[in-house]
Amino acid sequence: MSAVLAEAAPVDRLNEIWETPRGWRGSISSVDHKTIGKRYLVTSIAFLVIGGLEALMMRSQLAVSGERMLSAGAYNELFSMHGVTMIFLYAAPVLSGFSNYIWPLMLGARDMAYPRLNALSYWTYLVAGIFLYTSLPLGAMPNAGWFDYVPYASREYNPGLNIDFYALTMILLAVSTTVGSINFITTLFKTRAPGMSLNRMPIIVWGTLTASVANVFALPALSAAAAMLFLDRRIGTHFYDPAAGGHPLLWQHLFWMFGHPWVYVIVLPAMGIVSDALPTFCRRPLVGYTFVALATVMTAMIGFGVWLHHMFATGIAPLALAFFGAASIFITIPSAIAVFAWLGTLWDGKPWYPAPMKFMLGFIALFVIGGVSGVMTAAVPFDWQLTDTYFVVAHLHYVLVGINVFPVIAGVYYWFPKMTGRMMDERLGTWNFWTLFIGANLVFFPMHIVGLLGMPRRIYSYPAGLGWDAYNLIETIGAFVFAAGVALFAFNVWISRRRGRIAGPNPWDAGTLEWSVSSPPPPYNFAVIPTVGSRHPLWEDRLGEGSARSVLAKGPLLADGRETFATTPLDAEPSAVLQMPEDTYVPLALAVSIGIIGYGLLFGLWWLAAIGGIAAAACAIAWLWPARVEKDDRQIETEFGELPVGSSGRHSVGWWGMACVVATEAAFFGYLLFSYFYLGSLSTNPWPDDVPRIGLPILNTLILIASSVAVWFAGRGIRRNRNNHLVAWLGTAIVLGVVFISLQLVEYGREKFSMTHDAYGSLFYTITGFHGAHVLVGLVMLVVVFVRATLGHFRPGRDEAVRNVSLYWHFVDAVWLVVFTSLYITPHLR
Amino acid sequence: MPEHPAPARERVALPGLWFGFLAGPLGWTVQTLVDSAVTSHGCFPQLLPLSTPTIGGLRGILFAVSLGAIVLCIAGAVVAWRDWARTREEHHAGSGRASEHAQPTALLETGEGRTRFMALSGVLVSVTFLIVTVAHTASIFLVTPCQTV
Repeated sequence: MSAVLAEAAPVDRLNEIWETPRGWRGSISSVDHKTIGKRYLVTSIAFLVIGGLEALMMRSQLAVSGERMLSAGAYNELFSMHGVTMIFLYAAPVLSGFSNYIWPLMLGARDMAYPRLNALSYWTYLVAGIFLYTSLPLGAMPNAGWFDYVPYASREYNPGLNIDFYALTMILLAVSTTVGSINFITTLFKTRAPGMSLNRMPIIVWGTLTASVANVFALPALSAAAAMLFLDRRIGTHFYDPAAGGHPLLWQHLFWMFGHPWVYVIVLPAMGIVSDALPTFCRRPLVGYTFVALATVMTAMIGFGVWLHHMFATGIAPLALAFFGAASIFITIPSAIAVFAWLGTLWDGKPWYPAPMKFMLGFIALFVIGGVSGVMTAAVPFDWQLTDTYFVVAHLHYVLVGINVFPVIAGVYYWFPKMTGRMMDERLGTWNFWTLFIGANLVFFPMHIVGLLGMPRRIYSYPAGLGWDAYNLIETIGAFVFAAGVALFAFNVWISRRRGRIAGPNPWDAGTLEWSVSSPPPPYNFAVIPTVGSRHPLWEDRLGEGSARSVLAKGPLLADGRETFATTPLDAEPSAVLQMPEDTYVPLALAVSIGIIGYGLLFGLWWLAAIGGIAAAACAIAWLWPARVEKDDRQIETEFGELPVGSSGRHSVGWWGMACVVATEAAFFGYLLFSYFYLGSLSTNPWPDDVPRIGLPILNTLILIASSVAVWFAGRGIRRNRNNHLVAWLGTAIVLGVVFISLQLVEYGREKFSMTHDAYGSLFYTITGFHGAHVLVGLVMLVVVFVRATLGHFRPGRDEAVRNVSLYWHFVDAVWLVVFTSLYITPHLR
Repeated sequence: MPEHPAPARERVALPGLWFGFLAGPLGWTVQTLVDSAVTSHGCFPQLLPLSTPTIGGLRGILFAVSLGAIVLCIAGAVVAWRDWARTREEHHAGSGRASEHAQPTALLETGEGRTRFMALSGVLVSVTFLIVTVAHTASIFLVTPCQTV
């Protein structure tokens, strides 16, 4: 297959291959990243409006002292829902929207690595949002804050469904975000355009990649915490119950192990928006690309080691406080690097100031203010004075509004022409900026002062005469000014969508790849796959770039179905031609099934949860079953050499996804085992008081190890082109897995302690139960691969599914060795 | 591809590049997790805080762990620096201004070739985490481990 000129490419055929059919069927089955990206943007901004309305109600209450418009209970629900909505349903998903839309366009690909997973991520997010807001008509909205501290959130003090809504929503959102993150990671490492090596990627890609990796390792902490909270409330376990060996601080540890990395998840991609868009308006590349890319990565790395600064006032040893205080101060280094890089770009460039640029400059100002107040609270004695005051509210809103909302709106103004083909109104944009900027500072800056004056957070009303009245009135006025700015923004989007000036492919004269295609982009993104020779493919001639040149007007066509290149992780050398999935209803059906499980658990309708579980399993099997099986080892000749079609070799796209699943699941068990050792270290009694017997578990461990050996032999069989060996060894592994589960159930029946006996029992059954669930999932995958093997689907070099299931099964076995050592062996060592 | 983005990739081993990039963060992670766990358990073993740690030689243990972390950061920086020095010819391979027009800041702005980008990243990450690790170590001797009750 020789290179084709883009202008000679058969666009009708490409359109026919990639275009989603019109109508509701096409709408709910689409896996197009552009459609999903726009849905994310619209849905998340709708949640921004809902969260904003909740904030306005709270600010109306606090405008004057002694106001009783809202009861204390209603106020608790409002501030909880405001936080949950803004943090979980707006701030992160809106960035997923941008990344979903622009990543393949920036990376020179035709879609994300896993288009179906992309759709699943969105639908699950939508289901989670609907699930959470079901609590509104039921009068049971979460009411213990967005961080949901125990014991406020325990059944004893909060007996309604409120907290159950919260816990299950967190788990649903964790599913959505995790699969989305895995998709981003794999897309980045496997589907960049040829030539786009790591040092040629746009900064927003670094931001979203870093956030995605952080999600993979941080979200399991929230999932584990929420699952344990739900079990405490509904089953009667004792994870957070100090009377039975649990501890409320376990929640805080787990929540902030997730929560602080999450702060960076919702700001790093937004900072990436600025790092990519600001140079366009300065007419020069970003100053210090390497530093800014690294600052992004280092911020997330250090972000994992500062969770304790949210717990400075919980009585932790001074030296431990010092460790985390120091890290919290040093995390400002990478942030400062980014700020100086932006200032350097402004200084050395020839800036002009259309609406997106105004928002970016506003962002820098708010970022610095929010950052400075953050450093202040990193100092332990200062933090002790300010914990739970409005100063902290001011800090977090400067950070979240400044570093998320402002870059997001800048990003909308910047990429709106690409998404719609029309420019947003510039005059309205200027009004929009000043309204939001003035409003944000009016509402949030006085909060520093009332915080220093001692006004606590989360109070629904306050008496007169404390010196807080005037500040609160100003804050409320600011809130309404800010709301007017949001309304102006929505109006500008609406009017510009209809009457905006026609944009053309590159209205800002930007340098990155997405601006090389028409506005809006065609369904196939690129008529031919581009080859990238620099970081600014559209600015190369002007910048006098090095000897490498991007080739955009000519390249491989890839039009035998939905196809794009798989490339190597570091240097983006083409390694295979990927066959991408068609539109499908399965992601929506799976998301709905997961939602049904959620409602079943919420209302204690176990039959409903079981129906959801069966439906989800059916969807998963339909998902795993291949739409087509290559009957021959098809290869095509390209300018990059001969490439296999439909399989991408040893470390395939599927392997990367499975590796990410293994990483996040390993983190999940890591947090569960942390809980085990943490609670064990706090226990004042011999713990546990009745150690488990280890005879049967040792036998079970040997059985599981044997199943891993069988899976290894199965893989070796297909690599040697012996399908009968593959079938036989897979069958052996399945039998051994079933025996393991059966013996585990036998053991449960023999143990003297129960799940509700004490914290040890709760941990024992929860950890082994989750492991058993993983074995069951592994068995389902093994059975699917076994059936496919009997149908002759695999050959040497065409055995991705075998490799992937092997990886998962070995992981499940490795986890068991750690679980076995921790739960069965360590109690005998005490 | 017309020109490979990492022409000097054969000159350095990939594991070395990754070691240079990850050694510092790994050292700091181990230091933070072990030192804070040992301190917390030593000063607050169960449900009541103590003024004297239950673990004898607490500071010595913390310092030993910290020393290991510092050594790891330095090792990462040294390996990354050597890789960076070995890949000078990639100066021409990255994006940015052509070598004859290159400005002193070209390296930081462009990252040059991919190998050199990763090596430089290793140097910067290792040095940053060395600073954090040393500050952490200093606090062992500057701060009272347990609460004075």
